[in-house]
Amino acid sequence: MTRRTLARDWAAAVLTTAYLPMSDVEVEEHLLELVDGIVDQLAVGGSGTAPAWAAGSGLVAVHCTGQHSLQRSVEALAAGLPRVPELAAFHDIDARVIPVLGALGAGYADALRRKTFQQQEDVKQALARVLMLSEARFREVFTGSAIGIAISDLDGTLVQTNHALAEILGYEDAELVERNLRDLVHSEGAVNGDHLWLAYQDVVNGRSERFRIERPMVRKDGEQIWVYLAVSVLRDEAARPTHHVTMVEDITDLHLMQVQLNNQALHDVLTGLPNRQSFALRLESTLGQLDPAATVTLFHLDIDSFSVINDGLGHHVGDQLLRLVAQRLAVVFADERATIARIASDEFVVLVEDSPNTPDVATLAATINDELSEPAYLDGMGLAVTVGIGVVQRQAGGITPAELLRQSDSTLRRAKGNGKRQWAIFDRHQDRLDRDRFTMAAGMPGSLENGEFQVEYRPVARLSDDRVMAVEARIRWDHPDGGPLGHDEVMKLAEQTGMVLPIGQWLLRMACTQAVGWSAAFADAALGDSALGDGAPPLAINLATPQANDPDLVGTVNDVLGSTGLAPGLLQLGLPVRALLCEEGDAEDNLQVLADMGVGTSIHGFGGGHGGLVFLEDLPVQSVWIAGWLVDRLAERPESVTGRALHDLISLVHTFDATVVTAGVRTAEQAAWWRKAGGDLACGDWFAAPGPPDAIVERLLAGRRL
Amino acid sequence: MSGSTTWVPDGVNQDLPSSARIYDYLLGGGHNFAADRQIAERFATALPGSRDIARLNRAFLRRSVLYLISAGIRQFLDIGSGIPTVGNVHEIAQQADHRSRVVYVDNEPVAVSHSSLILEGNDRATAIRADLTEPDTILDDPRTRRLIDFDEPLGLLMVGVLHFVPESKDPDALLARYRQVLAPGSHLALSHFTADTRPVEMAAMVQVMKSSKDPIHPRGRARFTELFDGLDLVPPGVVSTALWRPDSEADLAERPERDQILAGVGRRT
Repeated sequence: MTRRTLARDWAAAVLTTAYLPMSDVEVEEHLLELVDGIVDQLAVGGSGTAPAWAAGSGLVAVHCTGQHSLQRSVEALAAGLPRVPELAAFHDIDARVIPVLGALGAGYADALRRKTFQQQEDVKQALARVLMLSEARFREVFTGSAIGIAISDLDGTLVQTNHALAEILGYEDAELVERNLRDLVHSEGAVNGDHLWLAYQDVVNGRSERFRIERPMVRKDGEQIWVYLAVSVLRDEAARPTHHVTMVEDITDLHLMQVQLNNQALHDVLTGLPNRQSFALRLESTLGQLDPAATVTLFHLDIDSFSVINDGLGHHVGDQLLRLVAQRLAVVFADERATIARIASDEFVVLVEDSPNTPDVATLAATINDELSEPAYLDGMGLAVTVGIGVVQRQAGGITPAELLRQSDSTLRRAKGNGKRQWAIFDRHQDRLDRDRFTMAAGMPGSLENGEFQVEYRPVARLSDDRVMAVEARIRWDHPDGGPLGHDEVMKLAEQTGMVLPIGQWLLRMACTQAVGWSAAFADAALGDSALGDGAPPLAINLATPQANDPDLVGTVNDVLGSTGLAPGLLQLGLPVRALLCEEGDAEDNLQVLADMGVGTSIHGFGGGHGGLVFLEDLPVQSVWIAGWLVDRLAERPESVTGRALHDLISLVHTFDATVVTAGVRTAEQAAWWRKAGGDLACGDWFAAPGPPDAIVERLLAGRRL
Repeated sequence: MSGSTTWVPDGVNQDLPSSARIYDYLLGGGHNFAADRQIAERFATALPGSRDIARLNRAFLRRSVLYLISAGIRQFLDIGSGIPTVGNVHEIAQQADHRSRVVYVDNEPVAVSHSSLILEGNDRATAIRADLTEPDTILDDPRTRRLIDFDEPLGLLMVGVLHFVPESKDPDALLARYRQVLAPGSHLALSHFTADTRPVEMAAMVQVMKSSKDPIHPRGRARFTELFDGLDLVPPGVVSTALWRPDSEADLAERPERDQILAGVGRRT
């Protein structure tokens, strides 16, 4: 067996025992070198084992270190060496080979041990490098971060903080070490501070992984800042919590902006007062916090004729005025626990938590108007305003904010209905009626469709001889629940709900249509009866203010006359004096044009004032209707100053060749008073209650025969 | 900074065995931890012949690199390179031609750190930490760009690594992305565990690896062959590692473990 054959056998024995990073031939060559060393040493008969030792480490050097590499090597050499020709001569060759194989094993073991140490060292170094790199990365993040970072042990002692944290809190870096985190975040008083610390405990206990919170903190210099805290926990190798990591982000600017935005959302920018949304929230929390038995008073204010100021003097004056109202309300309620808010364009509310020293409602309402009517100079003009006030005074318990506001609003509307500078206090009974009325009014459009409205007629009689001189058309509503509602009530409701124009037009059209019918029937019946005079009396309709001001009134009347065929002279339209006195609107023009068309015109609702007389001078007015409330008032005190004034009024009207009509005469005494005072015509229950159209002819025939 | 040692960085968990260190152990290396050795022994018990399988796979890597050298390739991207245990690509390639350039990629930080240590002073080889499933991270890395010229043929090596990529990560799409940057003449060398033979033992091994951070997903021959889509398989095509251009009679013996890893090399034309 040549040395090469031995090397080849050796290679074959170990090739599959380990991954040798070389070709089979290279392995063989490498092993041949080892064989040469061993054989040469043995051949000279020496006892040295150095080449065998070297062969052992040579195996390790080529990674021939599999589980069976050494064993196979020993087997191959033990079998092959004695058969190498140079060695065959030694009779004791087997014995000489044994220490050689021992040295091979020892060299192999020594090299493998060194290699293993080297590998372990490599792994350690590699690991250390990874740790160093990640530590360096962490250090970079930690020190360079704009976010403050605090690492604290579980009782809160700060172990490590970065520069950003010191900067956010206004400390020197060194000042933070060894301080306790609890002192730093503990700025809102014990309760909240403890609450925060409980959250820290939850992270340690595993109840939560991490938490985030927005809260105020106090800087070293005492300034309050807002921060965003993100807190998590660090664990050791056994996953036991060891430290807290608290990230602190300064969001003071963001917070201020948020506050401002909230303010804008909840505050009226003009006056700085809470707006409706905000007031509703405060109302809710106030009602919720107060003893249910405690009383609160809600003042609900609306500026009288604000649109006149706003439209007439410009919005900038209007705005100044609103600010002024806000300021003066603050003065009035300075001594009260009161919340003032602006809840609509010209609507303010004041919620007062009543105390024993709170003045009574009447005093406060008067003070409000006194304060506001003190003129203020805006844009060089002395402006004063008055307000209508609705007041609700009640216990804090048992009412929702929405209901309380509804009550105050409805009371305010009742007050405004009485004119300017009026106040009213919430009245449960009145409220009930108002609500019912409002519910009814809301159903008006449907009722009109359903034919629930009727036209009724009442004769207007001459006081001197009770002869029927005109027929007044009035509306009646047969409401299925509310029973029949009379003309005045229906028109009042219609005005509240914006239905007055369609209702008024319906009345006009229906009455004219029916008048054509009943005047023809009357003409037939009266034919040849000279006592019945020349034809039917005119149809009188008193218009509501919005109708009188309606720019389309003339067009509507024209259209109705054209389609019904009623002669203009048989129609007499009354315009309210209220509409004429108001300088806006088209009432005056309407009256003039209607007269030009040949329609009879009158003014109704004449009250105590003589201001309406001016229209008699300028406009073609045929008659003047005295307001119903004045007629009632007079009936109570016939000998009053009012009575004397009415005498004067009647004679003045007569100087313009107009007639005086008194509506709502209920008694013989009333009829007698007006007759004596010089009144011309009258209507009312004393003469005849309103009746359906088919009854009118009979009435007329009867009336004319009087 | 506090001296606390609780800052064990992400990705270095000595208690969670890594495939790179298991492979190192099976190859007879000492770059591993107790947890790796423990699971490697279970691996070897579940799948008899594991040391041979590892050895044959490592030998395939050597022969495929030498083949690529003979095909004129002088730059290599070795993804999933693992621990630089013995017979590393840069050693093989630079021994053949000292101008050869090699970029090692692995997702295991200690393996990458280890590679970097070995490569200190070698300016034609580098190691970067990245994951095979993020091709753009690897391809756009400045260190990759420094050593690899994508206008020249590239030896792209994914030896014993694609079986760590589940179907849910869409290996075909990943390979398609890599294929895009391969200049004509580039080669892709793949090897991959299969359960076509010894499915029961393989199932047991797969189970063992589920407790490592690199579970294994074996694929059949047909599925493995699909991974070469868009490339021409060079002879002998897809075969077991031992049979791919063998240079040692010893490896040809018919033993079940011989066929546990399939291998092939595809060429971009």
